[in-house]
Amino acid sequence: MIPALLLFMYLSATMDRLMADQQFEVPTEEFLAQAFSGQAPKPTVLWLTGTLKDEVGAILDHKYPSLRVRYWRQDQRFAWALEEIGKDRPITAGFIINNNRLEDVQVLAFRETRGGEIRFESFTRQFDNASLKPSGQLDTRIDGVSGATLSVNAMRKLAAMALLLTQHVVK
Amino acid sequence: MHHHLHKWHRRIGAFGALIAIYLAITGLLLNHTHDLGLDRTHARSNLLLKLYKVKPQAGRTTRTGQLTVSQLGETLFLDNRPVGQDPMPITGAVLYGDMVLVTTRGHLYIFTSQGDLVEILNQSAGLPASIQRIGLSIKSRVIVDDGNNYVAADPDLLTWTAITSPTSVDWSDVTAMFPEKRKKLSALAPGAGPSWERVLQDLHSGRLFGAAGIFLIDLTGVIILLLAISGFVTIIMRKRRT
Repeated sequence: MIPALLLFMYLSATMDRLMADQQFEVPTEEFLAQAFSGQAPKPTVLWLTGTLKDEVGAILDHKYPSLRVRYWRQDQRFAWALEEIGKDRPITAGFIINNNRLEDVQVLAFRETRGGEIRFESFTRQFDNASLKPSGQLDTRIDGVSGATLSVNAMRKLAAMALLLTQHVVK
Repeated sequence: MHHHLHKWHRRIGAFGALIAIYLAITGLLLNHTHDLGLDRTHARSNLLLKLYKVKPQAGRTTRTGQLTVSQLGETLFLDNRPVGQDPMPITGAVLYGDMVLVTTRGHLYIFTSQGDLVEILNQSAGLPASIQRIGLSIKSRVIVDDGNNYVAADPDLLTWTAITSPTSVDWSDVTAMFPEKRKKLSALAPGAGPSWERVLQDLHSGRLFGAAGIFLIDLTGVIILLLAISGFVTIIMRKRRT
């Protein structure tokens, strides 16, 4: 009985620690500095109104929570920092798009207790070179992460949204 | 021996069954809290608030133009419409064109006057880590103060730059909320109590009833173990007899 209780207490403590480890935050300016070699351009905003609002809504299956999003542009390279709810809390992800293709994806803030594995490069590099199909979906298959289905879906949607917004600005 | 074991097996079983039913129901509900929306709704019952030692929510309010901006607990309100959640206290609000800018200690929210969220800004946008107050300069520039330094926004509120002591700023004042207002907004806020998911977790583990609850659930665990063992032994003994 006592060994079983001790084992239970140890496992609970380990689980708590593991769950706390899932949450993290990378400042957007750090992501931008990395993406633009320390010389991030000034931000610009894109208003999500009219048909763009509907197209974003179709990708996310709901309205984007804010009416405008900011982006950073240097020629044909764009950086976006977008948010989407994973299970209960918003995930913030940064996207670098070059000539309408994803160049880099980073999870900037993860606030859920499970699914933080999506921050690993083994997951994010699947997005490399992906672009948007006319149907509004990514043209690249993104494999899931066990136990992080909702977070993975959120990342797929945000990647598609970033590509759509870029297309809209370039048009 | 076999008769005694069978008798005890039944006695323990009867006692354990009641708690097993309780555990099964709370366990089933726990598996579906998201589908049932129990992770998004909060308990309001006075008894539960007392059990969880929830203090009355702090209420702060400020006026800008014709609008009242308030915060009850974590919920932000534009007039009586809940428009967002922020754990940090509200520090001011100003009308800027047809937009309403609301600051909490850590964020600056831009809303339309109808309460739709335009953007949330924080330190990444160039704002101070701890926002103490917000105001409008005589030239209608938005100024934010962190207690030691000031930053001012460009007209589109995209970039914020440090400025030296600005003059003639109309700073926003935040005051405590009147009890009538608190009562009105309490009915519209999600509630300060724990989520029903948390209540269910604590019911399932027995924690809601303190040390006695945990002991009872532990005891049930031991009972189920004893039942399994005594049942197993009974089966073996019965097989041996036949």
